[in-house]
Amino acid sequence: MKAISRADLLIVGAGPAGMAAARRALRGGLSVVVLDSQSQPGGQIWRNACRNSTSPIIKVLGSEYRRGIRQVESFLACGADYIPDAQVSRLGQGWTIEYVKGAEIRTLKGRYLLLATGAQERPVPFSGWTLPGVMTVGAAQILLKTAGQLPQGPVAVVGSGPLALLYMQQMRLAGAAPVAYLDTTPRGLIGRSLRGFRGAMQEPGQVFKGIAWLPQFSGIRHVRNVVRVSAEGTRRVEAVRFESSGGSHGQLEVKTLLVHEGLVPSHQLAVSVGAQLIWDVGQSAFRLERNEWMNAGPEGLYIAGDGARIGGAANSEIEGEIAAIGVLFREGALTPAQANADTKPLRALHARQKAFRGFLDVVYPPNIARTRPDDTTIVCRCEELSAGELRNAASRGACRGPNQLKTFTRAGMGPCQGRQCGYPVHELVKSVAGLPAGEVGLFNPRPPFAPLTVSILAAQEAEEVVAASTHE
Amino acid sequence: MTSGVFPSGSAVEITVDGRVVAACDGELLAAVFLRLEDIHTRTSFPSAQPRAPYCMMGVCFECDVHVENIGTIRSCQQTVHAGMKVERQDYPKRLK
Ligand SMILES: Cc1cc2nc3c(=O)[nH]c(=O)nc-3n(C[C@H](O)[C@@H](O)[C@H](O)COP(=O)(O)OP(=O)(O)OC[C@H]3O[C@@H](n4cnc5c(N)ncnc54)[C@H](O)[C@@H]3O)c2cc1C
Ligand code: FES
Repeated sequence: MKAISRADLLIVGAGPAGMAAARRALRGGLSVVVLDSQSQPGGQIWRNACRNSTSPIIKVLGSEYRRGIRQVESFLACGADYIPDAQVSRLGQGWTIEYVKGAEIRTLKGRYLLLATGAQERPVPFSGWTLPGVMTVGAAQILLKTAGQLPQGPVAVVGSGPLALLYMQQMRLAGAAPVAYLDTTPRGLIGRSLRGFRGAMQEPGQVFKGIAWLPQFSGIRHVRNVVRVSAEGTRRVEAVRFESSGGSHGQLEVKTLLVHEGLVPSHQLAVSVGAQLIWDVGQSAFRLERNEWMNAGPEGLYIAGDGARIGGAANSEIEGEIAAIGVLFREGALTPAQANADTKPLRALHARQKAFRGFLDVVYPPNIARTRPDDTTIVCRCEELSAGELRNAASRGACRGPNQLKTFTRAGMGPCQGRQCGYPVHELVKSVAGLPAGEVGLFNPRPPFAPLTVSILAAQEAEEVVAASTHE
Repeated sequence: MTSGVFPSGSAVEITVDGRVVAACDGELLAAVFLRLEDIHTRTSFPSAQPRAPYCMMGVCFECDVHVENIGTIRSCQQTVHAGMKVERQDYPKRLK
């Protein structure tokens, strides 16, 4: 039977958090395995950074992306056992990772497990969002980072948040600006943002970077205060209709409509092994409970980066390093005094990052109005369930949580396992039941987290037969 | 058809529903679909509506296609190699 590999520390995710943790843990003398479903390290922000380092595209992607080249190179040189193209399908206490690579399922064992799985874009159902040509901004950016490719134009961008601004800037530099930015950032944020101002001022570099983007957008039609959009078309999106808070309407012909309403943590793996979700009012999302060493409760389970709470790449690196120091401390490789001394500067940086994020959370809140879709809008893409059907089922069944609604309707039972309808269903149950957000949970994540194709299952069966016969 | 502004990898050919399509070695299969005239990758069940890559990071499953010798996979998680035979996951044509 296939050998089971062992290491002191297992890390899922080779993004900023996972890479920083690996480097620090190795310096402390631990053996480390890092696995990631991508074929290159770097995570979301630095996807494909090493391969792009010699391509002309590097100029388009910007300075934060270029910083990633160094980070990825130093990770690759740090001595961690790095396993690319590996999708975690199941986690076991104590700790075991079952993962799919090619047509095989393999197993890893370690005493410590660090989950650094990052974020996904917040799903926002609206009329027509299932049409081909409607994609997320992040999806288009992945296309740019991996294939140097722009989506078919004309392109319009709808939504809010730093990633949308960054990608439009990258599009412009690549020579193909969008025809319009339909900005859903709510009115009156200048006033509100003053609340976050103090925090932001502690991280001036980043704020100025944000402001510096703005003049770059001259030439892109900027429609403000957009409160409603719909994608129109039959076989693919042909037009986007929009309405602003002042009541004005418009329509644009497009071949691609990109949408972005911020990020939410990818919490599924962590929750499957006992991490607790807590409603984070400032982020309008759940975060994962952790102590000051990034330990998530169960002995040996650590979580760092945007997979726990959205904080950005620099914050993820800091958390990864603190988690590694936490593991070294627990392991006895660092004395309490050493661990505290090593984390002191990191904690100061962490506090500044948190303050800065507080500012961004205020300036770019998810536009919740758009997550209350009208009755005909599909909410669960896999099972084709509309908001109306789900609302009816929720009120008929006096639903108090998404898991109940799932058994009534099959919402969340399709192949995406609720990764798209999870937050919209949470919002829908919350408003039908009139319960506070924190009381209405999310779908319980259930393994396998990676789809098992027929060839994988066949290979596994064959292997079990071999194992059984050698046993006799 | 929009092609890569900065094409990556050497030129190869694959087939999509039997038709020969140009691609780059090692690029994501979903990227190839997004350059086609018809970008759809699967149709939904039960209403048979076209769907196409939406998230590109493995969390929506709209990019599902069938690849010979591999099975039904998310095309945004699969890299391209020469000679790959790909079929759209159209319902009810294919139920795998
Ligand atoms: C699509 C997208 C694009 C983004 N682009 C930018 C950007 O350009 N600039 C910016 O500042 N921020 C960007 N972000 C924000 C991003 O969250 C960063 O803040 C940063 O990448 C977070 O670092 P991280 O280490 O926490 O997670 P990530 O960088 O997301 O890394 C997590 C890694 O875990 C892997 N992983 C997750 N689940 C599994 C699993 N089950 N099995 C195996 N591997 C798994 C993923 O493949 C990924 O490589 C983007 C986010 C998204 C979702
Ligand atoms: S495009 Fe969403 S899973 Fe591939």
